[in-house]
Amino acid sequence: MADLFMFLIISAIIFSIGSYGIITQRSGIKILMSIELMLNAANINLVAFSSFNGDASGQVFALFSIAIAAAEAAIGFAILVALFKVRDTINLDNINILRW
Amino acid sequence: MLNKILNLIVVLLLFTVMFISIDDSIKVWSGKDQANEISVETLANGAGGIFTDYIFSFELLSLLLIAALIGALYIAKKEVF
Repeated sequence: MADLFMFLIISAIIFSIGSYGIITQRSGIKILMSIELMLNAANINLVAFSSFNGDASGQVFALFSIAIAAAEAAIGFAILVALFKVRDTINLDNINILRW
Repeated sequence: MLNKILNLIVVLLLFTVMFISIDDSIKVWSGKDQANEISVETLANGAGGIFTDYIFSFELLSLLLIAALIGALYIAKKEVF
């Protein structure tokens, strides 16, 4: 009894956990982890609809989305490393170099 | 303390919106209660596969990945910015 409704509810729960992490946490690495949770919730939706419709395109899009998420995580961690060299912290409340 | 309660309320409202929209759209996809098994061969070479229909996107994605890798190394290696 694993119908499409269950997958959508699981996806919504994971997306809510990710958005709660983005709202509450102030550390850069935790926010990146929360972004990955939200992207994975979207991937669950893509794979579930693809599998229940019998069309392979959704899983191909999920694969592309995973690759984009890997590139985004690499860039995000590189930016955090550069910020840590400048400010000696990755607490995002102290990062205001793009503010004018 | 009040801040955490407000954050929790916001996230619960977001989940409620998503739950209501999933529950209301149930008549669109009802009747699909059996998951089809999609093989790896279909995913690679079948209709809508990586190596047939989306081959250009696949190659473009490889270019994007190598560009992101080089960019990440460049940003992390630089002294100040």
